[in-house]
Amino acid sequence: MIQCVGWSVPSSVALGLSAILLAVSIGMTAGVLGALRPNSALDIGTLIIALVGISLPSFVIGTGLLFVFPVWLGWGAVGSWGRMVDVVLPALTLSLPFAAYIARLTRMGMIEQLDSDYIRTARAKGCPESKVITKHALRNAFLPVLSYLGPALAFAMTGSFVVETVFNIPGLGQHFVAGVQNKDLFMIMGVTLIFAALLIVMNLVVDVLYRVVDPRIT
Amino acid sequence: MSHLLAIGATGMLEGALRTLAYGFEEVTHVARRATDFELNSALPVNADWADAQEFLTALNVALFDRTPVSDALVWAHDAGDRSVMGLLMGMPEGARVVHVHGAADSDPAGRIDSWRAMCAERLRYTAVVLGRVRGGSSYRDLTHEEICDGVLRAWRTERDVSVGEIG
Repeated sequence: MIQCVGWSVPSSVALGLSAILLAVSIGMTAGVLGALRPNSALDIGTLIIALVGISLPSFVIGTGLLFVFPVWLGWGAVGSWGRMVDVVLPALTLSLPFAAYIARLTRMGMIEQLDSDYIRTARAKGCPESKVITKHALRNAFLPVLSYLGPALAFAMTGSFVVETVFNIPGLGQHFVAGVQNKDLFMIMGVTLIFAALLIVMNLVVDVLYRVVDPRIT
Repeated sequence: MSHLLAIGATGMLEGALRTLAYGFEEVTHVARRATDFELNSALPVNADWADAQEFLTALNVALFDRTPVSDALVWAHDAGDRSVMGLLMGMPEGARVVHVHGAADSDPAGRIDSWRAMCAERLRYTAVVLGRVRGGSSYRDLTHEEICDGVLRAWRTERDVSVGEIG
């Protein structure tokens, strides 16, 4: 069990981290753009895409991406794993639901922050709009996203068995599915313990990062 | 008897308020968390200008048994306009008001004219307009020192002051 898990952890960690990085980039950009012009076409567009991202199951998104890119356009390969480029499609598939939640959280947080007195004061003092958004508003709007990122990262690293199956990635999830199919109790317990440990560690990291992002939090 | 009434001024105007407070026999300081702000022998009044009714009630209660206000330093966002209007209406004739306006992206000349017209000849109204400072190819926000300098200059000269570039 330890040997199996040891082999598969790097793949799952690489996939999970890439997916979360993509999710943060896509989600926060969409959320900020939406919040800057609430109820505009751009805002509604990002909300619709977020809704689709949350609603569509991973195997539909994954299969769709495989059909469009490697099969149709000839970019990348189906079922290949080991090169940097092989991470892109599975990471994108895994990231979309997370990106959708992050976009919604960022949008809500940014709208609330941009309406705050301290933002009006910053603008009144001549603070450039880019600095108002990035240094003042986004910093505070990021806190709910940070809370979500801890469990999301743990889930992305261990709970990606559908994506791993669709893209044939030798990760933790595949072992979990095989363990369930073969009634391998030790494997199921091992993967569950790893997930639990990751969840605890990630929540601890989030608590520490909270203090870094907002020094007022004790 | 001289009595200074300060509205807000716990952040960027802190330096100006502390300097001005020395020259008054009485100081009343109204802010959301005025009691957290230590200012010599000032009377702190916790009130939020966003709620005009609550703000003016708190102010009236606080000023009830004190000497009439002779000078006021006012900093509030647009959302506090009704509170500031009520405050100015209740000030005794001949009192001085230094009103700080933010104007990073638009010239508030029209707004200042309205405030001045409202004070008419009853109050000595002076406006401080906050702009921004050009640093190379971009702009930067004003420092607290620059803002306080501008306020103190307006206070001294009783003339409108613009701090940094407007518009």
